[in-house]
Amino acid sequence: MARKTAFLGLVLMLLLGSCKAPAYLPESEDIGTHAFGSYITIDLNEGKDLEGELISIDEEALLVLPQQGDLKIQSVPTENIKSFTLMYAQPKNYGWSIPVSVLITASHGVFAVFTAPINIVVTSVVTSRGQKAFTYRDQDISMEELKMFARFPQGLPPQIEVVDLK
Amino acid sequence: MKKTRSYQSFIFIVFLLGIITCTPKPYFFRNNYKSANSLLHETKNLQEDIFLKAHLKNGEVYILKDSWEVDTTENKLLGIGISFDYNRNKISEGAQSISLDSVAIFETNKKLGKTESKRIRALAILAGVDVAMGGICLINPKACFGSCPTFYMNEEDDFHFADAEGFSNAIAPSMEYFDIDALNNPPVMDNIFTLTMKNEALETHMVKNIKILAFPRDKDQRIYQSPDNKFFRCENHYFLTGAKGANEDLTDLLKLQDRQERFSLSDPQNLSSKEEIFLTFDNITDPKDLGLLISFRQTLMTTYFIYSAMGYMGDEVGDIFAKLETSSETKKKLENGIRKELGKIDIYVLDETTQKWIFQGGFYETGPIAFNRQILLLNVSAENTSLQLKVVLNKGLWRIDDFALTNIRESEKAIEILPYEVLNDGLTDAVAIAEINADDEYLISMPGSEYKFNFRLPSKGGDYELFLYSKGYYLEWMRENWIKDKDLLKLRQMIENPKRYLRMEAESFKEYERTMERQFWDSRIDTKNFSYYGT
Repeated sequence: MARKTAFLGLVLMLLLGSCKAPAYLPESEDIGTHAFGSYITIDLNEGKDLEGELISIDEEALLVLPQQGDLKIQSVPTENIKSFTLMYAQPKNYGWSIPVSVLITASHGVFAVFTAPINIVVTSVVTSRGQKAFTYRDQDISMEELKMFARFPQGLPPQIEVVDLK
Repeated sequence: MKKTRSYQSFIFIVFLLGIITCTPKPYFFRNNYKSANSLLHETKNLQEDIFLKAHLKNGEVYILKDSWEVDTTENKLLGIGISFDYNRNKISEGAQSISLDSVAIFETNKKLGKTESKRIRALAILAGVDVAMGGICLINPKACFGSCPTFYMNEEDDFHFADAEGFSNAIAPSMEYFDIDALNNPPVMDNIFTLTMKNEALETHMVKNIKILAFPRDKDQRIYQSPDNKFFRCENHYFLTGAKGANEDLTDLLKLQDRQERFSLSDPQNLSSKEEIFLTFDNITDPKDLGLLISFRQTLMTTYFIYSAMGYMGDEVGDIFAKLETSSETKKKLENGIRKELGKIDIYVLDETTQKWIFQGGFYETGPIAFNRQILLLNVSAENTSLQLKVVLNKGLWRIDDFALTNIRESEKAIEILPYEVLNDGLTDAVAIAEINADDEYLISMPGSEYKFNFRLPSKGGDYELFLYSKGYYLEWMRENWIKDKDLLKLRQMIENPKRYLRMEAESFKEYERTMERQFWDSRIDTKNFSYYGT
């Protein structure tokens, strides 16, 4: 029982710990002074899913600047978007609380049978909610509201060449 | 259906999850304004600190942190902050003056306040409960750590559903003995019977023998075990019609074998105080050769005494146990002192003619985990269709599930079955099977160990009543925090003068009883029906 519980805790910690946010995002207390766009993950109807900094939104497309690899700025037609998730600040990581709380229940003797599952459930939910604390999904926010989280909420200025953006 | 958590645990989880999931998303921390006019009108009543960003038409952005103002005369936005180009490279820092005509969008941001408070509160509550629980176990380790090997027909069950616990009194090699426990098994469908043995405590279990005692049975028959380990084939089942304690009607609690147990709290003045329960059985259609059935187990009182004794031994525990091994007198005192003082569950029958209570015998099995199902042969007139019994028992020591009567048909001899296979972590363990079936060897089971024993029953398709025979002893692991409890005088009192000890210890035990007994048993699951015969 104790081994199964510890194993489950470890798996949950690894799973939840794997949801890492990009380093350029600000801490939640600094979102008002952050000059870049928020981080968007787009699930497309066709083609490979895309993620990166939200640059701008106009009537027909979103501009996204991928943060990893050598990908150039991408234009995504709004009609090709199946769903999206927007992250605007660094999530708080409570993954540590899962193994710690499971270990603590070792001091509960036979009552660990009850306290260990409670601890796993509660700390897993706390960790999961912490990961999603500073995100919006497409159900939460309209395309018009989404503009506010772009680097250029006014739209891409006409004098800027897309290729010059970084 | 088996519940895996108690109601209270469920409520606690729901409460904590409620706290966590009620966290609202901070939707309204950001706003955009297309003109200075709307910016001024819509932000003037805001109390929170506002950061202002001015997104220029050329892609630059100004972030004003501490203060800002709109100079309508000069048509300028003034403030202290930083400006960035369209790639967000810093252009300037300090006092800024921005022409309003160059601004495409104004953006305000409120500070996000206490976004983590709900999650931190939930973790704090959980930590508080964990620390409290750990503290209680530290103060009263007697309550938190189990005892002796536990046996399960369903390996997934936890100790709340243990089908048997072996040799609970054997806390030293010289105290080794065999223990027989009714498994109360459902009809056997196969000729392979599996039993899982777990070590769920900080103990070393030295298991000498494990075997199954099997009795063929017909559909309406059961085989029950007497306190002196004799077996009787029985028929009929008479439910009790009335049960009364000092000030309570116990009929509903004691009528069915449903895990709804009757127990009492100990006497705060004296742990060996006795109490009485009066039972009535009516409509006994066959009054010949009656036996009284009982399902019972102990509270945590004896566990408390075992752990207390080890605490009193302190750092001399090794010396004292060595003495125990070599002195039969000390061992006898330890075995019989407190146990004798606490007594058994004594049964009396009312003689209708003389109106006197006639002693019939008693039940005793150590251990708070598994239920014991036993029978006591009653010496009563074969003509009475109703019967009155008196039960005398120590307050706060026993948990009784039910009483019933049955007709004893004949004495039986068991078919002894040794395991043919032992699995350790799912793999056949040839050493373990050799050890468990040898008379001069021990299977050593350490904390966390699980061994699965497979037995081959005599015939496929026949049904059997099964009992577990286990023989061995166990060594309790000394906990560091017990050493500070060393009190050899108290140990001496416990052994030499248990009557006085039980009076003196009453107050301390009461403290422990109030907390751990309730928590231990409140968390039990009481919906699993383990009575397969409608009793």
